[in-house]
Amino acid sequence: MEKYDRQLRLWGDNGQSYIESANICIIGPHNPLLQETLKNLILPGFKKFNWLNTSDSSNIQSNNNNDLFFNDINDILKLNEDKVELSIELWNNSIDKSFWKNFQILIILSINDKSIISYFDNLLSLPKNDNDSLYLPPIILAHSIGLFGYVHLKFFNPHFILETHPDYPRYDLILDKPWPQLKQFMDKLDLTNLNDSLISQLPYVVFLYKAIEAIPNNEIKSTTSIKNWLGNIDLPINNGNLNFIQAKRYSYLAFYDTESEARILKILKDAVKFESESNLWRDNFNNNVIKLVKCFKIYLDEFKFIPINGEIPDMESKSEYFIELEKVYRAKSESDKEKFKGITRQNCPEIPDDFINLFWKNIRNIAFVKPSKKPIHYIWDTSDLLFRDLLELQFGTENNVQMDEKFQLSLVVNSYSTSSIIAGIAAQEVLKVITHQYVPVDDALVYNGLDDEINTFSI
Amino acid sequence: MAGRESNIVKIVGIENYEKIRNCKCLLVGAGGIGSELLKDLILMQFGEIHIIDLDTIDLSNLNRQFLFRQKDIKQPKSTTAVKAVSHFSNSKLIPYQGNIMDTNQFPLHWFNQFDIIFNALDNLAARRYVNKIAQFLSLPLLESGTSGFDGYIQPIIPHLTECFDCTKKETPKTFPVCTIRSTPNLPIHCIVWAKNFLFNELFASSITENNQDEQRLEDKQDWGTEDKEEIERIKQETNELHELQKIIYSKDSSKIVNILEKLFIHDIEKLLLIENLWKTREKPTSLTLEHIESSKKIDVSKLKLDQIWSLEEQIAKFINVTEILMNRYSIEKSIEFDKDDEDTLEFVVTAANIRSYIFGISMKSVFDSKQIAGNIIPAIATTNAIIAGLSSIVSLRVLNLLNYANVKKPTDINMAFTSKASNISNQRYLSNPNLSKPNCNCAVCSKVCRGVLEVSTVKLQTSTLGELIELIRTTFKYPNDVSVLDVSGQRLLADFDFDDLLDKTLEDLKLGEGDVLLFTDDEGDEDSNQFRKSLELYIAVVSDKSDDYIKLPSIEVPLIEKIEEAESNDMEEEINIATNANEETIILIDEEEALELDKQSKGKRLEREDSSDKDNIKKIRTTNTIEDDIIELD
Repeated sequence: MEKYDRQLRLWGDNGQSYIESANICIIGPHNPLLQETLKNLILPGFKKFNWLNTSDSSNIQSNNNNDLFFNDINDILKLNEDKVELSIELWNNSIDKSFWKNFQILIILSINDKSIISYFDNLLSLPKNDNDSLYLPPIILAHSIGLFGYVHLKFFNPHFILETHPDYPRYDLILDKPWPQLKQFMDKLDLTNLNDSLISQLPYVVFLYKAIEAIPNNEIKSTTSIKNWLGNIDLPINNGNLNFIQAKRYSYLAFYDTESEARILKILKDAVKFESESNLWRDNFNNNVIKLVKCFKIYLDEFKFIPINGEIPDMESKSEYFIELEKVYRAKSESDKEKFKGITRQNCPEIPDDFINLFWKNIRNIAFVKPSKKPIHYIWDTSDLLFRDLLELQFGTENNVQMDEKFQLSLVVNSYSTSSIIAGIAAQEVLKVITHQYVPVDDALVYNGLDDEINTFSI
Repeated sequence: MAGRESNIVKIVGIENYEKIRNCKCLLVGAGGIGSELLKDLILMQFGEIHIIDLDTIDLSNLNRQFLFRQKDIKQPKSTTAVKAVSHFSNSKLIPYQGNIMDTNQFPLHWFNQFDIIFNALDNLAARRYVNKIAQFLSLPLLESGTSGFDGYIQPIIPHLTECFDCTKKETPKTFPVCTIRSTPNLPIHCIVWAKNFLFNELFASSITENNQDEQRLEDKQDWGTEDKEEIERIKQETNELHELQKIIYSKDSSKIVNILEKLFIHDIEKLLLIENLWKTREKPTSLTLEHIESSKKIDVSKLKLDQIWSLEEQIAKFINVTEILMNRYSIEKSIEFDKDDEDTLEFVVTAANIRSYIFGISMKSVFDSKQIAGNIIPAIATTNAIIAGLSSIVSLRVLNLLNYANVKKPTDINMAFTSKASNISNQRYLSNPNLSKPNCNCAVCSKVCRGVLEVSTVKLQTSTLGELIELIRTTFKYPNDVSVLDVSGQRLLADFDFDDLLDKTLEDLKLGEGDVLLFTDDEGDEDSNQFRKSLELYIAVVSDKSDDYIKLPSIEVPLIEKIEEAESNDMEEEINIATNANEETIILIDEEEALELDKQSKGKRLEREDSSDKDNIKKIRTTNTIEDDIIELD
């Protein structure tokens, strides 16, 4: 795995295994965008591709076009010394709908034939009760021309992400909702009886807990009231003590985080709306998550609070105290998890334990992208003028282009660097979608090389 | 090439196309961004591309550096990259294997042949160096970097837009000696101890070398503690380590247990005797012979790199890997720590973890420790492709080659940051602020005038320092009292109470190609309270001129308002010419200074020893460069 060391640090073995088993379909002509996209997918380890060539030319493999980097499409496959499979066929409009079940994602690049869009819109418009109508994988549409380009990502099922990798981890100490073991730990530490040395080695969590405990119930317990209490504390502490400084700085962590709670509840509520059709979903990951979401609602009905994940932040502390505190939080998380697993065993016993653990650990980071029920051709209704012009150029209806002369240069030419950028972004989104890590773009972006600008919007 | 050519002609027009064909680019780095940029610049039809890289190809490059294959491992990156693209290149390509900061291989005038520089580097020191060269020569520079899903480009147009050093960059991590040697409290402290101290002492140098180094360093060391007892202990411990090195030398694997006992039992017991240390800290618990004994039952071949091993497993692996290194040492004579050298990595990780256990710090898996020990920055193909693409396209605007998108002023050009920003409510994929004007407090581009001092080989041998100072003083109207620093050699050459060197010739003073001199007005004008701005001169030795040739840059050095005392320290240049890009040093400094350095952002200060006059103390920052970038690309 040494070869993938630098990227495993982004998505781990788990993400890598999704990449290596995924099956990708690319539709489009042989051009720089296609070569670059394929290159960017083979390098991180994707191994199975179908290419439905839409080139007019009958010579589908070799480079009769001098603006390509690779002479032969097979040269790109050699970028990964492991076995990479690419099966090549010509696109035709009579492909059976069952064909799409094979793929985790569909990438449509630089096509100039609207009938391909109509083909997919047709599939989508089949009656709702037809099981196959939901069998389309997520689609990425992309094109580049001149110094401009776009990427559009479309989901037909909800897409869940557990490991969203937020820049800053959120910790919940929920000191305002103590459970017996936490109370026991805190009660052992009587601030008035500890000597100076031990006071200076207490984790800041203890000060926060004692503050909440000391504030009378008829007063508002808030970050401000905690800070006031800390400011007036009659203890052999000086303000230079790191643990005391941390107590003030992190006082906002003391309370159960109702903001997070609201955010998570909203996501769960939105997600559950799609639950009724989930038996038709094609992606096992999404399927597992929605089942667990349902179980989690049951859990919340009974236990009320978003559970802690057992992790506590680093803090100045005597290590004994820290280790014991960590144990108390972990044990709480584990025992809550057992309660949750009691519910999952009844409702969805088929979900592997590892997956439940992943869900539990990331419940605070969960995100999902809503599916789009609109047909693909709705992209022409976009309010982004640049995007619409790019579509007109792409499908040969440039008479409809509305913007000014800076497009003149773009009417026919390729700028290789633009293709590099658009292919980079398209592959980046594929990685996010397939690993179910990091939140993909929702749902379109347009690149404008004249201003180094990327405009993101929803269609 | 017809298709490619006609495309770019359509984009920039035939006249500008000719300019591109005549353009000479310097591409610094043939790694992740470098591979992509090389391809993009060739397809843009740039006439000539010189590409330079110090490194050879490693297996972990292959997930993104698409010009390299398994069979190329250990080959130089620059030449391999050029070979891989030559089949379709319409540009003249010239590869170099070397360090861009090596003034012998790449003297200043060598840079002068280029029209534009593209940085595709992986470390702060080289980025700063190239930035400074660009300032000396007024060459446009396209700076870039990536880390995981994040990346940036920054076009730099010297004197007109912000330079690389106008904004503060993440500072290297520094740790006080005593934290590393006596009172660690984080995993990284133990890793630094194992890697920079223990490993180096045992494997990186010969026995005699070590002894001499110690002698030399002893008096200069900043200990980070006043405690005499502790300093003595640290010194003694270092001496005893030389005894351990003898065990390594002996190749007697039965004695590895003695190493464990010394490091993790006896040294800890001695540490415990210094009561002062443990008044406010928790005491460490030393290893026991039982731990060592019970580790012998463990089968190390079953250990997994992504898991945290038990203490006994750490010990077993330590013994196992030390034996391997012992045998290698007898053949290789000296072993450098390398994150991709499994033996050295595992030695450092197990030693660090055993120490962590002793000090009640959490242990780490080999996989996680590697990231800390090797300063590993995550890297993927896609981000590099995006950033290189952005960099190549914006170069058209920097060179003002897009007629329909005229750059009226440099600050109309944008920089760009991509990020996994879609995490942040999907609003932004890339932010593109316009370039700013230079920061007037920037020590690199604003506070100092810069130019090249051309001098013939003969003149270098005949001209004295005094004569040079006189020439500069009259040319740029400096007052009598100036000080002259050799920035590269980090020494004071002259000031008002130090005139010993004035009669020496430049050659006597070992000054030559690539050295940088800094002239500072120490007197000022009392009436107007103004000072002549400082002047930095890069020495370029020219061979094709007359014997008497010496030429100062044709620039004006303005008078500036007197700068407040507190600020004046910042005026002195940060010195980073000619440091090694791959050098990985952890600077040890005392704690008070650590705080100050946090503010000032770099290096360690040396004070001039003989200075009696407080006002006149010259503080110089050395750059023991740390490869500790936030943003990288390799």
